[in-house]
Amino acid sequence: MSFFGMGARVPATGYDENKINGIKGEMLMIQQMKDKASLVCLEKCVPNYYSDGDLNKGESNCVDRCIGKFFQTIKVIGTEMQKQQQGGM
Amino acid sequence: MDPGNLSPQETKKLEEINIDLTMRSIAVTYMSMIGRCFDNCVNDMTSKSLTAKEEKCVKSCSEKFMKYQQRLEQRFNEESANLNGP
Repeated sequence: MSFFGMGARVPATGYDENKINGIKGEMLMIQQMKDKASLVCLEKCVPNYYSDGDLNKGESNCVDRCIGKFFQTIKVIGTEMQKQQQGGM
Repeated sequence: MDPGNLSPQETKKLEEINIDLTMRSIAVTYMSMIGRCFDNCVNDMTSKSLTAKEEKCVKSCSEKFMKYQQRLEQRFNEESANLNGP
C-alpha cells in the first residue's frame, strides 16, 4: 500500500520509505497522545499549590483513573469517527 | 506497531526516529514543567531574584511534576499496549 504512489522498495537507502513513514506516524501519534494525556490529567489530578514535592495517594489514584478514562475516550471517539466515515458525508 | 520483519537498515532508521521523538517529548515535558511551576509559584515581580518562598514552591512543584510524569507514562504505556491487543 502506498500513499504517494511509489510503494516499491528503495534500494539506495535499503529500506521501504513508506513503511518507515507509516511506523513513524504511528509513533508520533502515540507521543502526541501521551503529551495530551499529561496535560489534561495534570489539570484534573494535581492541584496548583505545593505543600511538598510528593505525589500523594489520592493524586496517584487519580492519575491511574484518568489514564484509564482517557483511553476509553479514545476508543469511543474512534468508533464514532468510523461510523461517520462508513455512513458517508 | 508491528516490529516483525524489519531489515537491519529499517531497524536502525526506526531507532534514529525513536531517539528524535524521545528528545522532542522530553523538551515538551520540560517546557510544560517550567511553564506550570513558574505560573503557579512565581508571582512577585517586585524583586529580580526568586524569593525563598517562590524557590521552595518551584522545588516542590518540579519534584511533584516529575513524579506525576513518571506515573503517567507508566500507566500510559500499559494502556497503549492493551489498545491493539485483546
